[in-house]
Amino acid sequence: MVPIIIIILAIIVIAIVWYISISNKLNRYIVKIDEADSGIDVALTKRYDVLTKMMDTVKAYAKHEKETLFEVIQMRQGMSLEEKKDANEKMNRNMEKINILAEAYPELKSSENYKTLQQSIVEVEEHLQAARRMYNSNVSIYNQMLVTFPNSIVANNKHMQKKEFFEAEESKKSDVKIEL
Amino acid sequence: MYMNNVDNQNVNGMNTNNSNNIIMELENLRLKARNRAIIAIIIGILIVILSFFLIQPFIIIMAIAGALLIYRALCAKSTKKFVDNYKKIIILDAFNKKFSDVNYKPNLGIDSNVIAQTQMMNMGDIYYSNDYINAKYKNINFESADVLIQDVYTDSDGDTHYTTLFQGQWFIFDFNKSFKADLQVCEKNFTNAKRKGLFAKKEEQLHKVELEDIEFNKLFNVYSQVEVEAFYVLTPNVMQHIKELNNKIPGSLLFCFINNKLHVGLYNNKDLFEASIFRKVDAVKDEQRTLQEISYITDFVDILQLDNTLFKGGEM
Repeated sequence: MVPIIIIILAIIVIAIVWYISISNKLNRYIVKIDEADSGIDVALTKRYDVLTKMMDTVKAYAKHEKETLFEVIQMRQGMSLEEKKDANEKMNRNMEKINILAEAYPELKSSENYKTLQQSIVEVEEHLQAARRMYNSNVSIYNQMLVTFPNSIVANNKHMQKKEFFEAEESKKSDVKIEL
Repeated sequence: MYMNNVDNQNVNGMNTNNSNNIIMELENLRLKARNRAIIAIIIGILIVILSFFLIQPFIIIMAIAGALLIYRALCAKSTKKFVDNYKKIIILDAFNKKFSDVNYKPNLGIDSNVIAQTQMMNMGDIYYSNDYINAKYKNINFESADVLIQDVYTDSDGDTHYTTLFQGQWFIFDFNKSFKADLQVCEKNFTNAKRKGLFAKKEEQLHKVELEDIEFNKLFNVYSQVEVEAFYVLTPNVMQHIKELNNKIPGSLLFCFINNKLHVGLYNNKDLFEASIFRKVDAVKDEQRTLQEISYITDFVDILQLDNTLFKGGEM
């Protein structure tokens, strides 16, 4: 009788330890995803800052352009993933406008200030890509853990939900092709 | 007399006659060294055989030691002379054809502190390095040298054992991206890499990073002080290129991204740019062989596209 009780107790202890370890692992990934999300915030803000400088530079050169109007981008702390995607999309469209205008104004394209800003935008784009890839990579691992048995038992019990990816947009990939 | 000529020249930029003369003089040096080596080997073998007739172990040991001394006395100097001149002429000439601003020091190597300071390689007890080259390829500054790192231990019987921790080439390239955190990419069969762990300051500790490329994760362990920096440096393109290098170059690879430099350890048990007294000096063949060995260096720059400066200097 005693050995059976010991075996049952051992199984219960193992199950509790396992539950706690899986729970902690999932929680750690939530923290990592939050950190990666903050990384996207930082990178987006940098991109916004450089883009704003670029827009100001372009406006100074293309004063008479009626189509110079750039989309208004609102950046604030604590933006949702959807809002961030939206802001990023607007930045992409503004970037496309800047590129078109730069083609029309050779003196703008050849100015030192514009060249420096172009290099900076490539740099911040690369940082944004890194932050996005890190976020998506962590989300991917987390989502896989949620649906994999027996982790799914813990995840369901704690009502954990799949996280959304911060997708790469086709238009953004073209930003990297800026001619220097 | 011809030594002065050989000592101070290389083939580069010389007319065909001069070039042929230098190669001939080099071949004469090789033959001299080779003949001495053959004589020394024959004498050595004779001494050892004769000593076996005396059966006494002490005499046999003394005979082997004597044979080695004779070998050293007869041919070490002439071999060194040939090897030094071969490197000054054939190897340096190939370097000058491929690289700019060449600074080649065959008898020097990368200082052990340079590798030790990366804190990413087990430095063992014995460090030896030679064939140091500092040059530019596609305007990318690099350093490279052959490196041997060994551990020595003495067992309870008093026997000394040597374990090789690293034997191959160590390269240091200027990297085309600015990064703040240290990053290590270590092929899984590269066993003697080390990283800052438990006892380092928290911000200096390297943590394992899982990237989105499953194949890359299977081949390499990636450790970084800051996870996002790993994603910044190791773009999908760079990961693809590292896999390509891994397929192309025989040996185990260790990449250390430190202070905006890329250190690469190639553990291939090879000693590059070596001359042999038993191989005829052939300017064309030797140059081809050297250029083939040089491709270890150029492949890193070409495949990793280190000359792409798109990301350099744009940070605001």
